[in-house]
Amino acid sequence: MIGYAANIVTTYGRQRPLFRRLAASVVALVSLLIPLSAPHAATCLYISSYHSGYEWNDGIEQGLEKSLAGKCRLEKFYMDSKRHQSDDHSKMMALQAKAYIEKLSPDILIAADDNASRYLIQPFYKNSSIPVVFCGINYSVAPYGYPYDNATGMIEISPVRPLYKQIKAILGSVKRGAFLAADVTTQHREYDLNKEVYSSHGIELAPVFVKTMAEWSKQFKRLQSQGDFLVIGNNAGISDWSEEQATAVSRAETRILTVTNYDWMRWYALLSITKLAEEQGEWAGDVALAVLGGADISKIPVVANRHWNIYVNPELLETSGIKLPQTIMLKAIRVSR
Amino acid sequence: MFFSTPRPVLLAGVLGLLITAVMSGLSYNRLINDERHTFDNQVQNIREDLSIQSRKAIEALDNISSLFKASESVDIDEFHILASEQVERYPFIRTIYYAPYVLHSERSDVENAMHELGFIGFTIHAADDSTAGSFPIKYIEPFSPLYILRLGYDLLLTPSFTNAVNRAVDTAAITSAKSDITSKQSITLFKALYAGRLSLQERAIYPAMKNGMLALDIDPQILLQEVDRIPQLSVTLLYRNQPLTDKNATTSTAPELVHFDKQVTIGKEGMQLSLYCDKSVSWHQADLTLLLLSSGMGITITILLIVIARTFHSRSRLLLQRNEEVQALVDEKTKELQKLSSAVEYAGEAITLMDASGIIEYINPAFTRIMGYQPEHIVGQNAIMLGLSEQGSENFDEIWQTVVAGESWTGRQMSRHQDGTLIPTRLSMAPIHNSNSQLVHVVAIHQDLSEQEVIEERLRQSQKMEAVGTLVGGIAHDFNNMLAAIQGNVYLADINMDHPATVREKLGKIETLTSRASTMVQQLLSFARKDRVKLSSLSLNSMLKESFKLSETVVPENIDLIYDICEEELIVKADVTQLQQIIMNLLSNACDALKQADKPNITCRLSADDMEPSFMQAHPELKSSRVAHLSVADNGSGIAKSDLDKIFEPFFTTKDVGEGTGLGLSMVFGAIQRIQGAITVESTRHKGTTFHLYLPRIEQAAVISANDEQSDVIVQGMGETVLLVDDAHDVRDAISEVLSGIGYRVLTASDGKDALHQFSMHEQDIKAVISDVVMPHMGGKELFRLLRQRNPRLPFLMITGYDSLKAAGISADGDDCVLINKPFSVSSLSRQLHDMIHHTQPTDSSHSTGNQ
Repeated sequence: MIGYAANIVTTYGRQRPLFRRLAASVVALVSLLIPLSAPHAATCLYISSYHSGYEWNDGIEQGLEKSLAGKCRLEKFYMDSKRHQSDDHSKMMALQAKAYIEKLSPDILIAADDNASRYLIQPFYKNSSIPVVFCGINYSVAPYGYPYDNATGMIEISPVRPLYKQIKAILGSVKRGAFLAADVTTQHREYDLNKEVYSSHGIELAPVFVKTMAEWSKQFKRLQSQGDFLVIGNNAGISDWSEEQATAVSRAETRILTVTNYDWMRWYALLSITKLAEEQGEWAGDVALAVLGGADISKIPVVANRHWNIYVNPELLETSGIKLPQTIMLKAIRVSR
Repeated sequence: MFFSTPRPVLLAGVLGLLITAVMSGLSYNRLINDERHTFDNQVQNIREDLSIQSRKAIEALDNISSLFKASESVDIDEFHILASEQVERYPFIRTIYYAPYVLHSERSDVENAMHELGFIGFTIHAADDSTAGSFPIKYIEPFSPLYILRLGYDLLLTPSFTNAVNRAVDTAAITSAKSDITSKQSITLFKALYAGRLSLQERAIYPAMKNGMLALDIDPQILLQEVDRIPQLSVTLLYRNQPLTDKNATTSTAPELVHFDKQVTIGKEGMQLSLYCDKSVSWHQADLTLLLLSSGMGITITILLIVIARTFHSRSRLLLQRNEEVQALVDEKTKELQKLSSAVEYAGEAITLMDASGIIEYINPAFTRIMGYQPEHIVGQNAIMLGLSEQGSENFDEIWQTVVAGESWTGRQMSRHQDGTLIPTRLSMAPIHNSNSQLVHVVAIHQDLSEQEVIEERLRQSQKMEAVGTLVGGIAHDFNNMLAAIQGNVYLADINMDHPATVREKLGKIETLTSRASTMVQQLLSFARKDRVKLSSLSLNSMLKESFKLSETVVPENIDLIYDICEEELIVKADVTQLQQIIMNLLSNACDALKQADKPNITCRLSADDMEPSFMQAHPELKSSRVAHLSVADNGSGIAKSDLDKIFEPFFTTKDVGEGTGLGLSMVFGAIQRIQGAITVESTRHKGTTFHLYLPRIEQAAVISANDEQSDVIVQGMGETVLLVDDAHDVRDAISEVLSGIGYRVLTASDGKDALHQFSMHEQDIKAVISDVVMPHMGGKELFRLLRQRNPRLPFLMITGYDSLKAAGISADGDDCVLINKPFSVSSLSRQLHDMIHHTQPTDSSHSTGNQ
């Protein structure tokens, strides 16, 4: 019950400062005095697979709040499955969510990331009367049986292809590269996706999975001479990850074009093209509003994300002596620690 | 009411209304023209703006097209990035989408590829019987839930798109069509994409090679919002004459002034749009301010004109009234001026108007007549310098200074005629001041006294004759007494021839009686003399003594005549004759007043007085306070108080007809005034009358005595030869005997011719000539002239029994001769003759002599 209570938040748009909240309270109080004939405000229930404070989740929330601000009362439920990764926890949170949905009777559900669909939507709300908009599902909705008649949404695809295009644009003739990531399942799937893209263009991409910081550092240095470029995967899974060491190693050892699709790995890569959590939230919000506005949700196709952030690391550019095209330098965000 | 309105006001009102109408009309035209001009400009601006927006839409298509040309395959993210930029940049772009050309057999491949990209559920919606292929929408921007509903939709399924899509493929040009995919009106532009550069012929042969179509939806409402236009302007976009946008509804029910409309075509190949604009100008629009303002101004002008006209009319009427008043005043003044001018023009007195510096500005005709000057000769001349008075400019300058000082001056002047003769005038000069008391003019009036003086002279003469008549009556008695005495003494001398002492005594008495008779006759002649008034210094004491002697013959013996003459010699400047006449007149009046008196007496008193200032103020005519006071008092009947103020008026008399002329006292008054004296009278009825004469005294050593005391000494001759000429042989013989008796050799002649003859014979011997004045054949005067031609230094003594100068016809100024009157004493004759011969001058200042 404690977790249930702790994971439900009601807000309109972004979190406001105290005085704004007070002002909002006053407005809410006044609104109670409005005659009962006032128009009914729609309720949107956001069900997060993760928890508040998790960067990816917060990004989705920001996009959602931006899209729904003033148009739909936003209620939130966190399944907290990142910090509690057991199936039991997720199932339990799914039940709590269901109970909350039944109590709240929202006009639409917005389910973020895979676990919400896996433990809540698919079991309880597939083809139900309540419309569901999902977002943040990795690569494919096939595991959850989407699309439903009452569900559509946006899947989360790493910007592998855009990254490849930039590598091609920078290096011109490319034959061989490497993929360095933590030795975890998701990174293996990530490698497969990357390999598909690169191999379709005749480029060999060698996988390197590591488990420790030392291995990562060692491999990072070794791979500088093993190919034309290095794709840096997710570090999640490296237990002794050290940002300082990773920074030091990247600064000292970068000789070739290093790239990544992960936002938090931009400190160690020369060029980063990363997906936007906010895009997921905004899309889900827009779809929710469209459905609430009368659009037939079954006719809205499931789409993939398409907005990226581009980062360049000037220090690593200097270390490597690599020149990036002016078009990239103009668009990119410069990062440095 | 209408007809009572003044015509200027009526005209002003009509004019104002006309101005109002014209201004309103002009303003209305201006308003309409401005509105039309504004409308045209706005339409043109909208057209240009829309044309620009149209080009921008085509540019957007070109931009995206270049992406596809630059890459063999365009990923969805690349399309979205570029397309979203275009959408953000151009708000009127509603949607941009890419539809690849998909053969019927390739549909599933495309769908699977889209599924792999994450577009789960992507399905191509194309006609099932389509074998040629379709253009399903693959990418779309904005990437929103509403728009992505159109993913997979075949463009050729839209009927209105078919022709445009085919035309875009066939012509390689950007085509357009009215969109009916959504409920919103829009224009869709199409641009075909090709895998390579194909000619038109190749495109026709290989239609399958076309690899896609770019399409762009334009929101006409937003497109119109992009252009700058005023709300009043209704703008409708048409596509193929079908409205894309609704006309702005006109809510105003106000009547319209005018309506404009215009349709223009925008764009060429890409977007064939028509723009239809219309605008109604109604009374409620703000631009009508000009019309209202001009109408208001017109009305204001009308009111102002009416007010001005009314004011003008009132002022005009007032001015007319004033003008009439002024004209009446001017006429009145003009008449007065004409009267005055006529008075001046026809005045008998010479009138001169001078400016403050003495420059003559005007003279009247009388001036010309009296003074002889024509206006053109004297106007503009300085009066001071002209010397119009006998005394010259210096005297006139004194008068001028008096006038300039602000005082008037009146006095007798001898004015000089243009021909140089002197005219007696009474000159009155007065200053003329302006309102600031500044001297601006001086007016001078010359009154010609010539005729007046002639009349006065005649009157004076008649008075004299009257007095002479009276005198002769008195003298005749004395003269007879003296003749009787002389006869008696001649008889006694004759019978006592033997007693020389007795004879000498009787002859002495005879000589005394003769001398008295001579004096009496001389006085009578002098009194009757018609000389001009000639002022000279004289001793009043001596003159009175002589006059009183003469008056003894006038005053009846029963009247006690008392003289009281002071010892101090009182010198006055006066005419002797006039003074004698004054005394005679006063004595005569006194005698007349004493006819009924008991113990009648007349007291004549002469004294020296210093008059009090009060007296001087009362008698400004009196020149000096130091006076000789002569009073003549009687104890007669006196003068009635009512007559006292009139006694000095001419022709006023209380005497019976034939007894008096009424001119006596008038002449006395005039004579006293002439010598700047004063006369007063005091009288009490039945007690008597006293006349007081105040004559200014002067200090002068040499004066004329009334009767110089002559020495009785006989100056003996030295045997000089004297030619005696007289037509009366008794006189000639007596004088010849006397001259011979006192030592002269005497030659005689009976007239002038005889005298010339004698002179021719004895020219060397004759030392002097004694001649009567009036003689037959040749008078003394002619003789004098002819003898002087022979001997300019020849002494010549005239003797005459007439009034000396007049009778001789000799001017005292020109002739160097001596004249004595008959009878004369032997001593006088001997002295004159002696003096002449021995070149000694006579003692008298004049050249005449005798018993004066």
